[in-house]
Amino acid sequence: MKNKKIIIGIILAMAIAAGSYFGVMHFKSGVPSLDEGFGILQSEVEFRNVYPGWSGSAPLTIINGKDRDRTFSISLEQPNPNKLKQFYQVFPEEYYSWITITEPEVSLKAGQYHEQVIIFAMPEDVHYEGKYTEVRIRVSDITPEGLVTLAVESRWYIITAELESS
Amino acid sequence: MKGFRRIALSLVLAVSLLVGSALPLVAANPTVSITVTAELVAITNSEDTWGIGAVVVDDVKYFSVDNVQDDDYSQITNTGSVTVDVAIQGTDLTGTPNWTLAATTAADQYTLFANKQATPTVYDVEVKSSAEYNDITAAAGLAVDGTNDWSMNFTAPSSFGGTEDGNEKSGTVTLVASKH
Repeated sequence: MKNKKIIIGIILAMAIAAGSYFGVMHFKSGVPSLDEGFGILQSEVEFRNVYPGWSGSAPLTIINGKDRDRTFSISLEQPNPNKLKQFYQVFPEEYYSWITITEPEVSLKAGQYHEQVIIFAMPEDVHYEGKYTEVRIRVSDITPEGLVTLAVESRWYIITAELESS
Repeated sequence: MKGFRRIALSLVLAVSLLVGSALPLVAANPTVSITVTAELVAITNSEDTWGIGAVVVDDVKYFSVDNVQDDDYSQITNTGSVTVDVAIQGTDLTGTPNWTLAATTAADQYTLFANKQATPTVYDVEVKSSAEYNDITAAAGLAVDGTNDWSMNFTAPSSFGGTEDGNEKSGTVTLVASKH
């Protein structure tokens, strides 16, 4: 009997952990609501001093307005090369595989929000030191609609560690 | 024996130098920092549908109810918590044949130009399909709760490469907001 309770407890804990990882709806304080449209809560994310073999993650919170249900696609996009910050360059497309969007498509009911993690993992065997780069995480409304669609972007700055002076 | 040991040590040193030069020489365990800026990036846009209707070569149509010039037909509102830039991005029109979005019209090549709120009658913001897209908001960005009126015009190809009678085309225009 006691064992059964423990097993149920473990299953519950695993479900809660899986839920928070895979972005099941959370209802916590601090997330603003929107009457119309949609938005994201992370305007900028900076990973500074990353090095080969390192991995980490950052959240992406999508907030859907109260006006209607929507479906979103989440993708990596190049920033406009003419609008980069000084000393920054476009994060190369060939390295997009370092960034994992855990849920590339999300459907939300009116007034709901959703949180997922975006994982950055730099492979062991790459030479990409001392770079200041930018890539965008774009959230697009792909609900079938008219000609004009909306998207919002989180600006991701990825700065790789400098070479060690020998 | 002593001489052999020296040679072996030198070889080990040489091999480690070679390995060292093949791998990135970053500092051991550099401290990584992750900074997340919690600001809401959100916009709305008042009008999203545009039925251009039938067109002939070089036809010009405006984003409005009846396809005539209406400079403040649509309005973007910054509903977030941070000043944003709003860029405008287009696509080729799919159909048979496709029409390519370009800076100038040509055979099966069409254009889209938007206006800015500050100069409403001037449609000089080229809508591009590449990453080098242009902003329709002012250089200072769109402030929180601020609004930006806009419209755009469409110019049909200067010639049709195929028989276009009754062919339908479709594409999208995306307004992309990001922190200024």
